[in-house]
Amino acid sequence: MIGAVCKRVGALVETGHDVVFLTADIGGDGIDSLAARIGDRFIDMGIAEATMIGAAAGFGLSGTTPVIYGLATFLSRRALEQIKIDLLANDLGGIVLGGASGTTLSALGPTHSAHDDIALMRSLGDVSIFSPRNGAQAADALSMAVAARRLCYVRLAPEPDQAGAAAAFGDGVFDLVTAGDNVALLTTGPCLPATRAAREQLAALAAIRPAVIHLKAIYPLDRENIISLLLGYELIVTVEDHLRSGGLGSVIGEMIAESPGRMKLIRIGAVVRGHDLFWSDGKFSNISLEQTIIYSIRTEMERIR
Amino acid sequence: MGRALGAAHYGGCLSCVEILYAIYRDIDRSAIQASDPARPFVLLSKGHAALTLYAVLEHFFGWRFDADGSVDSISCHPLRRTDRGIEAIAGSLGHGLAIGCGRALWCRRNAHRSLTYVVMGDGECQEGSVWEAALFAGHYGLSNLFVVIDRNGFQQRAATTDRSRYAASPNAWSAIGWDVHSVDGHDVERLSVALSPERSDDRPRVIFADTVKGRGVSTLEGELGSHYRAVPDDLLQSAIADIDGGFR
Repeated sequence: MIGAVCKRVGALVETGHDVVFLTADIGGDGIDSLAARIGDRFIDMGIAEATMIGAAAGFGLSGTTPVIYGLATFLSRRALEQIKIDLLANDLGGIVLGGASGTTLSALGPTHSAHDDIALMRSLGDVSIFSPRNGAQAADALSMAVAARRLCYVRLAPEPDQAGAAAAFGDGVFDLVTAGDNVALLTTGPCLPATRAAREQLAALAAIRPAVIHLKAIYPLDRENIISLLLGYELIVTVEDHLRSGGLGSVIGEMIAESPGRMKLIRIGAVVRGHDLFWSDGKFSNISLEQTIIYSIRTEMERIR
Repeated sequence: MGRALGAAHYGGCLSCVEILYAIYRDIDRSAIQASDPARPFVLLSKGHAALTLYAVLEHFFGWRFDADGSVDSISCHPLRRTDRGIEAIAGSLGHGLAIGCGRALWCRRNAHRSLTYVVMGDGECQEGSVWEAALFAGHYGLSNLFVVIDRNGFQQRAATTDRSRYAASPNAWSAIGWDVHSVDGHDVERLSVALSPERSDDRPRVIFADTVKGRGVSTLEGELGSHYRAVPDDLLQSAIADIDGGFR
């Protein structure tokens, strides 16, 4: 996804937008070519995430919109206070690009796992959180954030959703990927391919045909809009590359709790035991996300029926 | 103002009066008044000295920061108010220098000659984020960046050198590419010389301003307990008498 974002940053600079791109020694697809393309508007701050955010605030206070790129695990935790104080409390816009967000790098251990990035960003209270499904959506999120001049966190994952064209951000905060009945599978970011594959297996094996809905944004969400969407289903299943607590499942759960609906919610996400990470119903490395979704829905539907 | 707040960080407020006075006396205040994008930037990183910042801004610009009025409000740590010369929120130590780096870099990239000033505490230098930013400024040769360290010798619970002998050490800053100066932090003219924008090299400048915590008030001077406290009536009267009498 970062490749598409880099191209968009280059295009923004070339069309006169006053933005700078800062990275903390993190490379990736398109980074080097962006550095060559935008010259001194590209700044590699070195391995110094806190200083990168502070310096970004210095640019923001001067009227230039900072686009800040680093690994999600380091930005969302190590530099969280700088994001809260230097950017948010100063009422500055800016785009924080969380590379390898969520569980992308969980196999490298707790140091690199950003399985709590949504929860941490939500805790700040007023940071827009985007979770695009592919590079095109990520680039759109960037453009929207630059135009809005508000602080945004964009989750980036290295495995984009390749199937089909994704709707642009201007079309609303969710994509109805596959229509269905009774069950709504709500997912976000890089979980979409596994969610869609699980849906196909459920249809083939158990005649259960859930709708698949992709949330492009986690915050802000129009509660009435989301609830009116969900009221048509008896079972809501959230699927995310994030802790079960604090992320998409919690957001939807809070909405349902405050709604007149009586739909049942199942949250599929990561749980932490010591330094190990598991999906909700099995060990992370032994049972796939796809299998977890199928098992959870079949079990619940059998219970309901 | 401190009375209206109930309590304040008087020790650190009184130690940096001359530092902030010297900075604002000598800089282009008309650019600040006009909110010129290329104005000099003053960042009070030791945000607990906000009351001094309010007083100095009132002195030079006539802006009121009263706690009692219905028009304006103050806080113990400053909030960003660009219409009143407060460029950024402060209070969480170790943030100002990185912001100053970004501002200095922005000025350099836009060919603005204005300077960025960051006022920090000596205890604040124990924060790791200070050193991240100091390394960055030294590496990039941000000669348009001035740091003044209010070296009053105390933090909340101890003498600063009892907690870290090296954090506020000029040698440490010199080793990572800073142009280091030391002055009497209560001597406005010496501060003014050290703050002179005339430069002979491309290093950022750090000025160690040796000061006295609680300066000017006999019951607060050099007292650890002056860091954060209330001021009862009797202390207020004696403080006013000390200041009026030119206590030394």
